[in-house]
Amino acid sequence: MFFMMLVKQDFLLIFRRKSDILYPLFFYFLVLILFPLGISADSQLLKEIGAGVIWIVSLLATLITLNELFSRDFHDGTMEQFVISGYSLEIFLTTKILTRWLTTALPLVLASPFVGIVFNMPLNAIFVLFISLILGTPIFYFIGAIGSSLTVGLKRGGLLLPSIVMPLYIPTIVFGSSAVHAAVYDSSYNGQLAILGAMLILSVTIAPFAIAASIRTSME
Amino acid sequence: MIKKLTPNVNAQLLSCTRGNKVLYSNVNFTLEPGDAIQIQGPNGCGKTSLLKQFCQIIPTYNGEIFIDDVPVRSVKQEFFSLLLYTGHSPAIKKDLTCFENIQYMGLLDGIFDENLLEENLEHLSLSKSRDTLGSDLSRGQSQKTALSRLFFTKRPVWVLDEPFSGLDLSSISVIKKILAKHIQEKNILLITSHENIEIPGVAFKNLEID
Repeated sequence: MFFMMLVKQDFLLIFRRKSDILYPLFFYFLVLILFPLGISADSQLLKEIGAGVIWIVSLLATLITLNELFSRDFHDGTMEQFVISGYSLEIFLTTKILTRWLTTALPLVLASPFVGIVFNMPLNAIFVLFISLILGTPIFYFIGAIGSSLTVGLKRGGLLLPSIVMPLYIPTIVFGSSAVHAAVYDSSYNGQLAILGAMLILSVTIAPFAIAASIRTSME
Repeated sequence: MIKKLTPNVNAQLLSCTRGNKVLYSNVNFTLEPGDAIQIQGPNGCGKTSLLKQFCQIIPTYNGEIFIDDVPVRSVKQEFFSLLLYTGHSPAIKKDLTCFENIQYMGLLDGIFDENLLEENLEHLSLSKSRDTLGSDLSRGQSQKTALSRLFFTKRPVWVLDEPFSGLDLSSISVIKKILAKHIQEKNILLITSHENIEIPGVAFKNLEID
């Protein structure tokens, strides 16, 4: 009951601010459209760069939402109430991250097959793109939330957040885009997907504790 | 939520520094069930910091707080489940309506019954602003929304930071009544204010910090 209500409240909060959902989505499509326009519409070239481009743009689209992830709760006093509520702070924060992922990253993932078609990818590569983004985008959120919780108490943490988080994203983007790249050229991609899955499990299980700890520290 | 037993609280040698400045040191107090303490002092003297230290939001450094003679750091989660704190930021969500905000607070107290929460709007005459968004509530109305939690919570230790700021006279007297009831039921109250608070039937301990 408690958990259901918490999820309901978090969804309600997100849907009251539709711009938070639409902004990353617009960003995603606008930037992706720029590539064929700005580089070349040559279908062979698009097929070659597609995997990397879609992955990088997905990363950037999630990155721009990270600043807002905890900052409102932190500044209006809700986070204080979570910390001293007697319930686990990890549960509150994980729910926040998951609802945020479902509303902002999942639409990008669902749209990715269409983008794959635009970038002239073969069908099985589009399938791999979809699977790898499903595995990869939650990693972006859980790792990003660590950076977000570390910088939430700072007055000017704007630039700090991407510089903390970006290096941590490198393994995800390497394995994610190389899985899709492999699928485009018909070679084996199972290994990369397995490693993505392992990274997902690792970040979902460990990150909430790191996030909760740094939120507690930011309160001081 | 089951009514929790009210603990004995013993705070010893609390001190706090901000930057190089010592806000206060050697603050001691003990509270038994039925005690109310009023923390007084000028602006910037550390009243809020003291309350936050008490609530374990900021660390107590050398000081120690004992709950039923057990150091609080070893029973933190249990202590938190006894605690109700309303701070400077009233935790009112701008994107939720007044009633949805109350539901959000009900969540923290494990109360999901909408009718029960609905009744609480009456106490502080918030019925009219039930569906007003938090961003459109006035400062006093936000404060009232935050304080309406006092009417349904089962938590025995209340820590209120300037609860009367921004409130109109009739709301102040309603809040004072619920505080008096809280003390008569042998619970604990910590409160800060600029001026002396007087509530009939409540003998405040005074703690001056400067």
